[in-house]
Formats: sequence, structure tokens, C-alpha cells
Amino acid sequence: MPSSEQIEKLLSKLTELTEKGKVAWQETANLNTFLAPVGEFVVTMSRSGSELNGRYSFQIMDSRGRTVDGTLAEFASATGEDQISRQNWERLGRLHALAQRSALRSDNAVSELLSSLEQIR
Amino acid sequence: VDFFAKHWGDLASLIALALTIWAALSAKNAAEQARDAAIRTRDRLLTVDAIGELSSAITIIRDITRLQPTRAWDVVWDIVLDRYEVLRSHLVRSEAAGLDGNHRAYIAAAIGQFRMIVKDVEDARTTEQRGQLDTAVFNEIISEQGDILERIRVALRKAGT
Repeated sequence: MPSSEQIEKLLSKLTELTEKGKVAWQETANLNTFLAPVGEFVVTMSRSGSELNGRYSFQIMDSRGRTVDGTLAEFASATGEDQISRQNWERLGRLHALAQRSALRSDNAVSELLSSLEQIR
Repeated sequence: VDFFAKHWGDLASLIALALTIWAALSAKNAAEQARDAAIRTRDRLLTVDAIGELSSAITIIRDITRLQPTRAWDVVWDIVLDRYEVLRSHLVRSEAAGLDGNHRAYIAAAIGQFRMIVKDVEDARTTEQRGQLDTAVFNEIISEQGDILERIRVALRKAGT
């Protein structure tokens, strides 16, 4: 089982690379689950419940689709938890939001829309 | 002339040495060419294998997209789950058949996508909530994956020609 420090590093790196557009997330059959291939592995980021009070979970699958080590990080609700849990919840929430934007290509859609609007005189 | 008369033996030895070196270099070159040809043949066979596995996977995806919307759970779901398992096997074999890192990542993502659908179906069967399964979304996801596999197949064909 990886240490929480390793998972933290992994989440930070994934967040950083997703922000830079270097990790290509995909939509899945589950509305709030997004998936991205990273090397030989596939990572998934899921949310159940609402954005404000939901449960986020992060998993890794191997290249054969088997879940590696179960759920690696899971945090529910931003309220009523200790500070570290709240920070982790926020970190996963941020990665989930970025994954969603990447999967839905929201940034591309907005910039293409802007450029189309600029062409209208 | 006197020099040649005295040293013809040495000269002959030098020429023999040069010929030996030339023959050895030629043999090495031929061996390297044979090895390169063997590697190219092996790579080409692996590419043909990968194309075959991807073709089978794409055919199965078409089968699944036809079967899923029938929602005749008791009749088709065992078949559909079996098809997903065969699909996964084809993708695992295509991945093992020497694809590059980028293509392998797409295959891994496809396997992950199908695994999640299978889990949803199995969970729905266990909890007797088959009506909750959104087969339209399943079909959308697997059709997208089918398109990606098709693009990889075309890229492999182009690379192999």
C-alpha cells in the first residue's frame, strides 16, 4: 500500500499536468467519473453526491483494467472533518473539476467560441 | 626488385591479413543485415497481429452496440458480458503485440472504460436494478473507443506499408 505522502505527490503532479493540458482525461459511462491513461496505468477520478458535499475517490487501474490497491484516496464532505481531511477533500475536488474540464474540453470550447465571436462583425 | 625478393613473404602475409579483415567485416555486415531483416520481419508480424486483434475488437464493439439497446437483460446480458471479456482479451493481446507507448495508453484507457461498464452491469445484476443501466451512454462510450481503436488500426496499417 503506497504511503499517503506518495499519494499526495501523485495527486499534486496529476493536478499540475492536467492544468498544463498534458493529461488527457476522458468521460466514462458514469457521469461524474473521469479516466486518464498515464503510462502503463489508468487513473480514475470520481465524485458521488453534490459538488459541495460529495465524496471524491481516486483509483488506479493497471493496463488490464484491474484496480491497483483499491481506492487510494477517498474523502467525503468538506465540513465536520479535521483540517487535513478537508485539505485532501479540496485537493481531490480540484483535480476532479480539472479532469471534468479536460474531458469535456470546456477550455477549447470557450476559446473556439470566443474566436468565432471575434470574427462576427 | 631486390626489396620484393627479400620481403615477398611479408607482403603476402600483409595481403592475407587485409583479406581476412575484409572477409570478417563483410561477414559482420551480412550478419548485421540478417539480424536487421529478422527484427523488421518480427516487427511486421507483431504489427499484423496487433491489426488482427484490433479488427476483432472493433467487430465485437459493433456486436455489443447492437445487443445493448435491446435491454432484454435475461437474454442478452450474459452474451454481452462474455463479449466484453473477449473484447478485453483482444485489447490486452494487441497491447502486448509491440504497440508504441502512445497507442498502448489509448488501449489501456479503452480497457479501463470497458471494465467500468462491466462493473456497472454486474452491480446492477447483483442489486436487481437493471432498469437503471443507461445503455445509450454505454453505447456512446464504446463507440468513441471503437473510433479510437479504428484510428490506431489505420495508423498501424500506414506504418506497416
